Amino acid sequence: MPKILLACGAFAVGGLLAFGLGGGVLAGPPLPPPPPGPAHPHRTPSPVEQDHATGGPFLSVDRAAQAALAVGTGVGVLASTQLQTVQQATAVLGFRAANNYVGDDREVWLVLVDGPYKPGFGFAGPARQFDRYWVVLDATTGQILGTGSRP
Amino acid sequence: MKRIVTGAVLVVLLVLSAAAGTAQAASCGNCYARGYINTGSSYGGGYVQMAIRQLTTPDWPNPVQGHINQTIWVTTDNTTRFSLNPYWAEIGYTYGYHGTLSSDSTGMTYYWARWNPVNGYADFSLGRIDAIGTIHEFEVQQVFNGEYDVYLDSVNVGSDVNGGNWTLEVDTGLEYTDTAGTIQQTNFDFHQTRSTACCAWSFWSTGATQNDFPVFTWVWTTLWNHANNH
Repeated sequence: MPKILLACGAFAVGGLLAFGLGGGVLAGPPLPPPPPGPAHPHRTPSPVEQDHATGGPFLSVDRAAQAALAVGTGVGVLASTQLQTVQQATAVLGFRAANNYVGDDREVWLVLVDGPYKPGFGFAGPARQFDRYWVVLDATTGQILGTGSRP
Repeated sequence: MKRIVTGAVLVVLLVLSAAAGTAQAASCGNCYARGYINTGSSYGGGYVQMAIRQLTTPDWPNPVQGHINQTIWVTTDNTTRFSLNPYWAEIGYTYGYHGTLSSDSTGMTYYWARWNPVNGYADFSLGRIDAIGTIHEFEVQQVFNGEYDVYLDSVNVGSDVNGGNWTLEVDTGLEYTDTAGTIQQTNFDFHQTRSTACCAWSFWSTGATQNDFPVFTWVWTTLWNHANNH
């Protein structure tokens, strides 16, 4: 029995030391990721890590439209401006309307515009220019979450 | 790892610029300074570790909407950049996003983007960036027929659906819209490609570089695992 208690005590002290050391590590600069192996572990953001519905207050429809029109590369005409959840906007677009750190219940403005739009990023091939586009804005922060154009 | 670091320098490619440091601001559309792998073999995806460095470009505000970004690209239709209309997906970090800077003091944000003819073009801001100097993992891989998931630090942040099958080219490097953009030296480490049979990853063993303009200099040393972009 004393041996068991001793072992428990040592374990507790060791745990405290480890916790302390761990705290020290966490307080320092973040460690780089290790070299990758032949298999890569993956996960999706947990609900705790995601942005969720706020209930407002929201960016006004005028501000949302203004921000969306500024994304175009010329004069555009609003086709629609809708306050939706990410899930609803995803159904309209046919693909997920925001990155996975944004929850399905988060409120967004989905703005559809008829007007010139130039992709911001590319890889190769001819420079593209589209004549209609969509913009998804976080309705709470006003941040642009995504833009694009469907064929 | 040690073997790689201490291994013989297999490729040292210096693209020197006589104009380096004296570059005048000039729009260049979408320009690239990148390393690429294009061996004729198909892959299931690409992976790289990149250090976050401060990027700047003078042309970010509207109406120009310029940007400068560090990225990994993969083709998603088993073609290369020489194809007429390659499908692709990319993930990285950018300074300048459709005429805006992020609220972070660096002005930068992580993002991902894709092109395929069914869903079209799209780019998504993650609205966040990590501290300058920290190293992060960027990855794209096909997980189902024509679906490529993109990952930041092993976390799936988005899905590109309706692509084709397999990746014939994996590039890492710099995209910029103005030759007066600036970048600190950035390390690209531990490049990997994935086999088409899910899901064994292996290090790149060879490669080459492309520079659209000599403003940004690439130095490749010790295989592909440790590349520096100046």
